[in-house]
Amino acid sequence: MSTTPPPRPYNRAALAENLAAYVFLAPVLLLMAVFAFWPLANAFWLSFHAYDLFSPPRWVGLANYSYLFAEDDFWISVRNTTLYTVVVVACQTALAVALAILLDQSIRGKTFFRVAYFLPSVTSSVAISLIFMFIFFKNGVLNQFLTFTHLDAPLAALGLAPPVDWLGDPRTALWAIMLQNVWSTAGFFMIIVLAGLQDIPTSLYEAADVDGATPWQQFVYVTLPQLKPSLFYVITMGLIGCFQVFDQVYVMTEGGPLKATLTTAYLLYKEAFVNFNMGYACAIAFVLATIIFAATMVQKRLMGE
Amino acid sequence: MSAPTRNTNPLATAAFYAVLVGFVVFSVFPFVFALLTSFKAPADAFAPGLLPPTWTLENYQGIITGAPLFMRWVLNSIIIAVASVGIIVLLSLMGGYAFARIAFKGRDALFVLMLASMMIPGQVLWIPNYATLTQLGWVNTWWALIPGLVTTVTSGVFMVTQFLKAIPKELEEAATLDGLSRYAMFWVLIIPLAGPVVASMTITSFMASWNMFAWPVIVLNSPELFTLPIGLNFFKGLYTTKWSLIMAGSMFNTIPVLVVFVFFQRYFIKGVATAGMKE
Amino acid sequence: MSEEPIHTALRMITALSQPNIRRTATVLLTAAFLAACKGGTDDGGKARIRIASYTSSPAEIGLMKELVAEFNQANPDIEAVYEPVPGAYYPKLLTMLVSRTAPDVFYLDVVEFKPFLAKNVLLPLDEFVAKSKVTRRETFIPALWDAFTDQGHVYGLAKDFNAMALFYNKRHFEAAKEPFPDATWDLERFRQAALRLTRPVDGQPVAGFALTHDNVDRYLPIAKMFGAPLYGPDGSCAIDEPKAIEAMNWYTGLKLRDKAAIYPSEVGSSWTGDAFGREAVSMAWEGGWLVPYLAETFPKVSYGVSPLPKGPAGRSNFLFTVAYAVPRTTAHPEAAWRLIEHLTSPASQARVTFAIPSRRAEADGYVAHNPVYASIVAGADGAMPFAFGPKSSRVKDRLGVAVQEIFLGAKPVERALGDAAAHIDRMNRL
Repeated sequence: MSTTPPPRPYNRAALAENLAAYVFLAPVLLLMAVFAFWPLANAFWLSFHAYDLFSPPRWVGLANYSYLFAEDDFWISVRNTTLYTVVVVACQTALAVALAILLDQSIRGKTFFRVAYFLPSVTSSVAISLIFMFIFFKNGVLNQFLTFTHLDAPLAALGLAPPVDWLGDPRTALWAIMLQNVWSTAGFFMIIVLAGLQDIPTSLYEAADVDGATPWQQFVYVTLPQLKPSLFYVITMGLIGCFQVFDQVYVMTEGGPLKATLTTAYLLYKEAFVNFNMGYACAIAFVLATIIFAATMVQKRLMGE
Repeated sequence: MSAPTRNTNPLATAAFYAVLVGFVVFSVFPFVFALLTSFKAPADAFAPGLLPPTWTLENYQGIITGAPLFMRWVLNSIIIAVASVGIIVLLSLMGGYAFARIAFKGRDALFVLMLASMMIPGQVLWIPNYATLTQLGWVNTWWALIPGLVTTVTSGVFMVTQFLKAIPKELEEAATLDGLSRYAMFWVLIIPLAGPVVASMTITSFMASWNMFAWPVIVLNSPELFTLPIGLNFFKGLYTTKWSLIMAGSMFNTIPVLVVFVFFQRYFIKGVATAGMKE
Repeated sequence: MSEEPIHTALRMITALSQPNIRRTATVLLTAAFLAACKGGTDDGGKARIRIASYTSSPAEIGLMKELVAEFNQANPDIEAVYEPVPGAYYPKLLTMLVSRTAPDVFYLDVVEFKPFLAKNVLLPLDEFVAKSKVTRRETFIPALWDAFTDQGHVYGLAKDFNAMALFYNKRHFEAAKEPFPDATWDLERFRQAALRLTRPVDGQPVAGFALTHDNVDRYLPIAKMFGAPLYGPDGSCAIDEPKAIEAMNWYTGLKLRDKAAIYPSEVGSSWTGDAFGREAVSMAWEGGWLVPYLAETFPKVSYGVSPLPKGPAGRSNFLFTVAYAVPRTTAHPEAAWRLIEHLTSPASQARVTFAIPSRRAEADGYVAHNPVYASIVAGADGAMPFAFGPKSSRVKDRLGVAVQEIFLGAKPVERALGDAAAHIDRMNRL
């Protein structure tokens, strides 16, 4: 937060500044205290208890956590979720930036293109699932395309004998869901990048033009650095959303085949509301949050935010 | 970054539009599929070919006549969406302004805490939040929807913070010299500059509110209080799904968000202030 | 009831349109305070009860509304409110149970019966049953009554049910000159038919059968047909016994050896009934829910329904059923019971259209009007409830993993089932 002016030298001015900040923040803080921090504290407390929802919580110390770290399913879910997050966040961010920059040009039919690219993020998930089933099944569009383009031969060399049952094969199921996620969220994050692009002063591009910079150089040396704040938002929200991925798994694969799409949030949901293991579920939640937090910090460091 | 406008090579322009249109096909196809299916008779839902063999409005009629509360749900959805968008945008602007522009005590810690609160999967907060709502007597009222939108508020504050950081600080310094207070500055300086971010906040919070599902289902008991997307879920059978009817229903989720998007995306233009600004 | 939030919301909107933050805050706070003061009240003397259901079809919601309205007419001392839940049903039910705001009557799937019972949240209904004139085990299909009975205590009354039957495509059978299936078919006869039916029809590839390779919905009944139950007499998991292995070899053989079966995902379907509707397979084992699905989505398919084939050790089937249950925390147990009794009365049961009535006479009457369900009702006798013990869902998931391991070739049959049995025993001991 480097652009903020330094605190005023006078105590009274500083006091007024602090007061103003908290006045602006008061409604948000009140909301969060009641409906985020309080239940969070409750969940944290429960993560040290055996709690089956119907008997009083029983203190077990770190037992939930040690059980968690000894559990195969947990590690499988962490591996799946991490792979999922890395791939999806990278692809959706790159795509969002590319689409936003394309649509920030003075082009014909700008509104049409913007609406078209935004559409996936509001298309009915039922329609999307049906379409993707149609793409991924054994006689589906993807396999027909691969046969047509003779790309099935290199795949067979990789051990994926055609035709591949993309959602039914443990080696490809997670990738199929990733593709669907990137497709449906890139347009959403495009909006935010698009808004961020409007904050970049045109004078910077004019100066770059004078210096004879190529479009690519302008992108690397002007656009990207200026987009940093919005990119930090897009990537952080992407990390949070992907590490907590649940809906797609719940609807498309229920964690299968052979736990290939078992994600940590899905595991947590099952423990909390299917297996009556709320204390354990809370422990999973806090370990997952720690992972997300660490990933965000790494990202922050890398971006120099 | 204005390659196609200045580049006079017609081949490059053609290639540029080819890429744009290619993306459109990918993006639009499932929506078109859903839209066309919604005009098919249920028995034709899987008929080969994208176009309905016979066009029919029976799915839409079926929804409106089959749900006596349909108009009520539409009204509910609109009221809830308008109220939440207004509140979320205002609270986010206020919070984001404080984080981005004021160096107050505890700012960094508070900011990190706020981000961290979004990292806990919401499912473990359902039961304690429900208990709070029971205490407040809010269960089965619209006030109970508030916890379902806290994450949207938090991410809104985060978004605004990131955007307001980009505004040059000279503007505020000048305003301070003019004797403007922090509160006045917020209204006369920040709000007018925040056009694009308000537009994207409006779109995203409208989406969040309109499509909110799991939490309202948990805290609302009376069908009279439901929003449209929740009410329309009554049409989804466990096995006896009428696909064309479901697709017609999904249009009520998609179209309103699209309308809001079309209206507000116009504000994704250079702000007057930043356009001429010298760094 | 909802008028107040509408007005307050409108006030908030008006307030927000003015650039006066203090005014807004005041209105917000007042509104919040007003809403906080408004609590639920009980009418004097009138027992107010709530009944919650998940929503499996519009037809079912419609009938429930009618039945509850009639109940309120006939019982002036009770006001029953119907609360259909259009999603997240079990999370919502659990949340309400935990915070003691649960409805007085709720739907309970048979797969959740033992887990709920283990948490001691269900009210035994024995005293009411003892006093009742119309609610007796003999008047219900006994297997359904027993599905919600534990150690002689009844905890729920089945509202309706379904079981599996063999659906077959008449056009495919005729094209293959294969006689239609009947009650005499055994598993070997079924396999022979599946082999002969795996041939193109009108240039389209068709497989004899669609099976599930990611869950135990088909395998466990087959194991039972071979004489292998899930749990042995001592209560330990017996799914790795020789007969269970033989059953699994037969089942996987349909696909892996005979190539006479496919998975629904291979033809772009999410369940076998859909693959059957698309005429990608000639036979499927599905429940009565497939009948309306075919009528609505694939009306051109000409099909017949016959009982599941029998195995070396006889017949088996799964019983899919849902009960009306009452939480221990209810303030009005008597009123809740009267509502349940009304909903399961012979007159109410006769109006069930979306599944099969759970009373014997009404189920038979249902079949008389809809002969297509005859094989399904017949399948209920001797069927096992779709339930797996107090660790229900864990056990079901673990068995599903074993089935996946076998079909995907990750483990040989003996080891997959052996590992599953050992794991299930460990989970059940916890």
